[in-house]
Amino acid sequence: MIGLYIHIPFCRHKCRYCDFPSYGGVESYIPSYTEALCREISTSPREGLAVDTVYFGGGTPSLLTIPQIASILQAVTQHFAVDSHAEITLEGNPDSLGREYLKSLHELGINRLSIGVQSFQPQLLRSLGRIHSSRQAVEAVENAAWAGFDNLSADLMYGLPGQTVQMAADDLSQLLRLPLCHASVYSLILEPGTCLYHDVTTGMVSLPPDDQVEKMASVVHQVFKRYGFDHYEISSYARPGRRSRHNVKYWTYVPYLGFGVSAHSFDGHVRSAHISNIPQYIRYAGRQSVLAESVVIDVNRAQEDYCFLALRMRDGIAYDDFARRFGVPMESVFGKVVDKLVKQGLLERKESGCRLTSLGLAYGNYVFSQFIR
Amino acid sequence: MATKYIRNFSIIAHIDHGKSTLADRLLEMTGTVSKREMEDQLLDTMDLERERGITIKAQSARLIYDAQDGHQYTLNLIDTPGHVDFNYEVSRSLAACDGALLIVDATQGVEAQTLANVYLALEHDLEIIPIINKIDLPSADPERVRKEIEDVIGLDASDAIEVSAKTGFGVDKVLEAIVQRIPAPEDAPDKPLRALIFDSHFDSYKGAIANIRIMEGSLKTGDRIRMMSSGMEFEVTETGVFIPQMHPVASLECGSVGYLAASMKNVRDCRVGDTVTLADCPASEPLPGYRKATPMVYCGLYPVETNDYDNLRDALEKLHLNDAALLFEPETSTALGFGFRCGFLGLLHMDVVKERLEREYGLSLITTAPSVIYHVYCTDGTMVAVDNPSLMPDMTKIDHIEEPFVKTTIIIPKDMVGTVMEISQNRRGQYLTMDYLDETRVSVVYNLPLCEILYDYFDTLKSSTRGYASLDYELNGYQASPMVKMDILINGEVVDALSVIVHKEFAARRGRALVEKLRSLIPRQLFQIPIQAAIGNKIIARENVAALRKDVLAKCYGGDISRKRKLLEKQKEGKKRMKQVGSVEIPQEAFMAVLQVDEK
Repeated sequence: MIGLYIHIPFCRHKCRYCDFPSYGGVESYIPSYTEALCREISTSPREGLAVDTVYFGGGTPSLLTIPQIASILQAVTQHFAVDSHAEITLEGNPDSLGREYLKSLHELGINRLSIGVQSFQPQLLRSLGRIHSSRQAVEAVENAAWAGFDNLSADLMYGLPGQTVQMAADDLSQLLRLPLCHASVYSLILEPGTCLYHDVTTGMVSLPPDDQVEKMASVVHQVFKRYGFDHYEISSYARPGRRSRHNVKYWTYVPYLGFGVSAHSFDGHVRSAHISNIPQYIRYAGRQSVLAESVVIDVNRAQEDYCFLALRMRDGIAYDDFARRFGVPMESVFGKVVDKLVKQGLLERKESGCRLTSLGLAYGNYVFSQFIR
Repeated sequence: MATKYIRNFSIIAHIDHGKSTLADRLLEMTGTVSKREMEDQLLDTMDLERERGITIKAQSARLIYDAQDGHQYTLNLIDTPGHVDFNYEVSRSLAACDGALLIVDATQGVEAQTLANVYLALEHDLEIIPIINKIDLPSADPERVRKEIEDVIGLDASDAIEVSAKTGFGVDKVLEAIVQRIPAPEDAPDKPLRALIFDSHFDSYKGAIANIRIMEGSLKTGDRIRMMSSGMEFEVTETGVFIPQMHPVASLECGSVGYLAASMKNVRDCRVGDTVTLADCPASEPLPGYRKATPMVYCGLYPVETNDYDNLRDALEKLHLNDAALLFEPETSTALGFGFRCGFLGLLHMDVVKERLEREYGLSLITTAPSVIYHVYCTDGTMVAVDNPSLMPDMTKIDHIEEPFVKTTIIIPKDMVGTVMEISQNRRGQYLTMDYLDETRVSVVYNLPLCEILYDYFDTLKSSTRGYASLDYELNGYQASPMVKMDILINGEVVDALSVIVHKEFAARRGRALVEKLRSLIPRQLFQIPIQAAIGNKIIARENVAALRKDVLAKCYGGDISRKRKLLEKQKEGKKRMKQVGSVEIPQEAFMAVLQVDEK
């Protein structure tokens, strides 16, 4: 079964580190954008496909009103065969997750929330340009639990300007006091063109040194392990049975359909992306193509993509699945690469596949790049 | 045809002075090749030659010309390679001629190779017709060039012909001058055959083809011939002329130029410079001047993919069929595995062979830094010729080392003399002479170690004279020098393929520059990698390649895999030609780094 991704490109305020397709101060587009989304979904040529995950990502999907989310969900359920046990996730920021709103979301059928906590330290939140307080973050999670959500995830970042290892550890212990069953934890990436990039390159703020960031990463691993979380993907931790079923689709080569600006789709053979311009999208969605690009994945690239995606999962590459998909044994294609990486201590062979070692986790990008021919 | 209606000539010139263009016009105006068939610069047949604007293999063409005296003449044009690496080939081609057209660019004047080639031509007693080319250019100064030819070369230039090979202006006068001024070949049809091989190439159907000039006697299909240097005998299966393609004729008479095929298996059977005679009526003496081409420059060639070794050997063998001067023998390197030690006439020859291997045979190669041949005299009285630094005998066993020097002529505008002297002296050059060619240009002669020319002399000279310098050199014997072997250690292990032989006093500076360069070329790996330069056990320079940064863990972007992939591709970039040496991956360029260092 496939996954649906619905992109909501609006934020109250653009975070200083963010280079995702999201925009602050254009909330006036939300009503017409919602209509455009519904049009695009209702006219999708993939009508009737079985769907078992729906993911509202952003941006800040929690900026949408309950009726707006309801109309999108209605379009989805009318046009696709949504499984009765489907995982339906919505991303939200702590400043837009009040009790009543959460209760209504839950009643609509949203059964998983991903909350952008990022940090609990006021000065770190400020340096990131987050507009919520640490108190709001705690309340948002507690409110969600109160409203009936039992599948709660939070995003946390480390390697922030001025952050020490102790501060990162404090953030973790605060996070783990909350009723969460999933967390995405990742280090700050300085992307060119962002405000933070400017701040750092002009010396206004400075990022912690590499060795400190590496220490933070290992604290993250240890703490989650101690709390009984499964480190199932490079930057994701889950309590048993609570993996993000939607995100796992990205890593395991399962098709997904994206709707909205800058949304990406993969049908098993073709990867495509939508245009990023909101007014254009509103004008064209449901009427003519909103594709910006579309690439047919040849078999070589498919094999490479498959490997570096699967290796993000702690389960790694399952050789029987590879062979079933591509009709050749995995090691007849990548045997040499695997040999080398095993020798370097970055990869380990297991019974019917291979996966990153704990050293390999720290050098994931190097390992992945070796699979690109 | 009677010998008195034959003229054999070649064209000599400095690079870019218009030799090939003039050759094209001659072919065109005599109707040898129609304008329609005319591909620009027809005589340079290899892609590489056309790209680089140089001639590597000599080519020949027979031109039929109706002269103003009412007679029809056969003009044999023997094209010569135009680079210092191929001096011997040039000298053999000239030996096959009775005259030469000397082209001088009307905007540039006499250059180093002009001089070198003129001296070669004069050694062969050739009648030289000076031609001033490119007179159509606004900056042409034929009077200055005329004076330069007289002053510098000592030729009477009063009847130098002014032409524009590009437009065709004056080319008719060139044709007349060839007939009137170049002597006819000596007429000796009844003497035993003596034919000079001035070039050879390999044809997959006919075997090795020898390009010959019949000096005495005559030759026909079916004759049994003998190579006078080797004594090998063959039966002639075909004789022919170049029009300019090979065109069979029944026989080649005295004075004519053409080719012979005799089921020879490779070009080593018909070496350039050798004399062909008849087996049953041999000449008593070969023609003078034969010598085997001897490589001056050696380097190691290794396949990036070890299983390409056999392909590399096959490719070298095929090139060798056509290139008797290319030497190769198997060697092994602990760093690079199985490969070949190859000998070349010079750097250009090396580049050309390397490029052909990569381009025509699709091989991906690692080249080690080129080396000259050192004469290493050991304490036990023996002498070892060392062309590979890693084979240098132990220092304690060496009495002294001699290295090859070359007499180098550099022509430059006079305000650059200081620069050239500085560059030359910094590279251990010994000043020989200096002459003013005219009011503005100077010819400076230095005795330079050949290894310095290979190292960076040429590039430094070109860049610091903004391309104005022209250079020519010839081997000038061996001299004792305090040379030492410098090893490079990567991660504590000597990488044999990176060892170099340097002058003792330059070692520290070059060592520092080289490890610095290697640090910038070797990508970060999982651990810190020390790079050291050492002489014997003494470390003289060190740099570290820092360990690879650990990843920052990125979030997934709503299924945007292409973005992730682009990042990985970027990370992968440049890793294509890596060689695993011990536990370290070394990129291919690193092995040539020794030639590209920036000394401070």
